[in-house]
Amino acid sequence: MQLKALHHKISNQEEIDFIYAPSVSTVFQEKHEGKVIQEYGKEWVVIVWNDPVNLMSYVTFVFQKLFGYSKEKATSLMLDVHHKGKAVVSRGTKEKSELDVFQLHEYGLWATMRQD
Amino acid sequence: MEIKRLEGGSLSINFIETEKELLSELTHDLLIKLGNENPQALMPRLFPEAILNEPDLDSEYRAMTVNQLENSHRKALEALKLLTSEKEISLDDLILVIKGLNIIRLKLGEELDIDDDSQSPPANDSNHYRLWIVFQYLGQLLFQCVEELE
Repeated sequence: MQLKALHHKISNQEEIDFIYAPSVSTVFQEKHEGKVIQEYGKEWVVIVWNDPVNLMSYVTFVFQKLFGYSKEKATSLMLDVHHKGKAVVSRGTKEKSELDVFQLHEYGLWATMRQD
Repeated sequence: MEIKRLEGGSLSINFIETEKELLSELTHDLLIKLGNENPQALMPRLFPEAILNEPDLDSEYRAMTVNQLENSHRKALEALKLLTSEKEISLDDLILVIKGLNIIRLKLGEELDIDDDSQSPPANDSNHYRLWIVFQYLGQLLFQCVEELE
């Protein structure tokens, strides 16, 4: 497409929406993902349960490694697991939760998932 | 075991002979158990439930993941067995070592029926006493490895 024609197109609001349709759609989807999930009742949570074998420092390390949590957040979640018996460590679609649970099981943590 | 972070991100690691022999024996035994026809029934702690109170959904999840999870455990144990002889390892290697050590601890914890982290040791003359010492020792190795990652 020539530069002039492109300029003409992007000076027209309706056509901007058309040109950027995929991006707008992606942004909208990301922005409203939580709402869409909730509307369809499909949000799942991943829970890690206390177990007497896994070391506290190990559990903190796994939360940091898998979810990219800060040391503070990972430690706080680990302490919830230790003192309250469990903690919700992630939430999202069923597919995302399945992956999170699988990875936690690979690290030997006792994780389950349920619809919220 | 001595472990130390090196410049460039890798780690120097040095297991003493007794540790190498112990880990070789433990990984060998566990790999045999993983090769069993139904390892998830034999070692439920290594193959935990994913969805409580929903047997159909849980079965579906297990059917989808059990082979991958078994392979992941196997890979970590095999790596642990090999890496005890190395002098320098990468961070990814160390994560496999950590996973391997933890899998063995989970299995030992299951055998020892550990249900409380302040549980007293078994009696000295108990069959479980040696296992309990090994369980505690592996905890110390694991702790050292995790500390080095921070």
